[in-house]
Amino acid sequence: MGIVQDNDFELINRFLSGEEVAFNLIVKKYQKKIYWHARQMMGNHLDADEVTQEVLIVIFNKLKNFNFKSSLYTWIYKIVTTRSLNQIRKKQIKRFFSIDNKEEIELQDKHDIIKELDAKEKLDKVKKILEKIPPKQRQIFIMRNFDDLSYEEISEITGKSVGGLKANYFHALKKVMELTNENK
Amino acid sequence: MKTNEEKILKYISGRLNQEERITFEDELKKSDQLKNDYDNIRFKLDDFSMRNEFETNETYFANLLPRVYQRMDKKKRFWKFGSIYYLVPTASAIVILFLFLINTKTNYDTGYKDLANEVVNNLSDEEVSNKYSIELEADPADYILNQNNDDLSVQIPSDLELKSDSYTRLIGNPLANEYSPLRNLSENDLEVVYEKLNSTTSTKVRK
Repeated sequence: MGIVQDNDFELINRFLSGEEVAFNLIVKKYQKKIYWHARQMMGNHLDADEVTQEVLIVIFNKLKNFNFKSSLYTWIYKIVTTRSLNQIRKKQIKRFFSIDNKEEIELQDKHDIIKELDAKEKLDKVKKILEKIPPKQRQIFIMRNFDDLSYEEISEITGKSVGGLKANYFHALKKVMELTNENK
Repeated sequence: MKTNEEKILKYISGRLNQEERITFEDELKKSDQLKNDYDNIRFKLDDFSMRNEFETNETYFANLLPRVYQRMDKKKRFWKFGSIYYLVPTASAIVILFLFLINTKTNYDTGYKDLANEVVNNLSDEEVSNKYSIELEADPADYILNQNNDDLSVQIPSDLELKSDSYTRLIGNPLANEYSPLRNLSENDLEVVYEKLNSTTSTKVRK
């Protein structure tokens, strides 16, 4: 996939000059990427939906601060990753204080946008493995495997060195293989 | 497999240096076992890049933007009107607390000043004696009578003086409610009031 710029800067300028339609076009272009990254990070639809909505609101409010130095995609990605990690933290705190989350699981199932059972099972399998990886390693793993981002792009988004990212990705891969073999 | 796996994962994650990478790629061409292990790992990892395989409910994405706008509107409305629900009670509570504090302070100040003025400056010794010694039972004679259930046959000593506990009784007496700000006086001011009462009461008793 990689970073797609096309006419992003033009869209931003149009939005900044008051054309709300330009924002709609930006959303249309990136909403699925945002959703799927959040979905892989969070492991369920409801949380991914929450993160996606939050990200779109942040984009709407902060686009006026966009400095045109990085690509819009990188900028959006920074927001998505930060929001996802925040949401994971929030969930961990909530989980710490709640005893029963049966209702939440049922609710997630009811609202899921994936309809096919096979796909659901496959995604569930992936989720079970990913949720056992530390969030920051998970983040790199998703960016590499799911979003096909280069280390340079990930470095720009996360602000980490390429060497550090490689090490993180290697450990994530090792963990994934270990868990995949266990789940066989 | 385990040794190969480590090597393959290092290759995939880009942790091999250029020389190691070339060696690995050569080996990959020559060794069926390594090729097999590599394909196996790649196959497993491909499970994680399967987004396009999913058939999703497109209505979700079609409705996403309207939902976001709705949420932003709600937020805006909250800051415009909704915040009143929180702002009004909070502001009221602050005002009430402020008034209460002011009021307490005012009462205290007024009480203190009134009493100080009344006792120390404005009233004559005689008036102070009449008012305070009767109402506060600070008159030693009354006190003795009171202690003896108002038995008028009790002899009242002629050399009566205000006892040291009169001061305590003055402050603690329920009848002193009207003069309760006495409790708020500083030690020095109380001393002044006490001295005033002491002298006038003694005068009265002596009379």
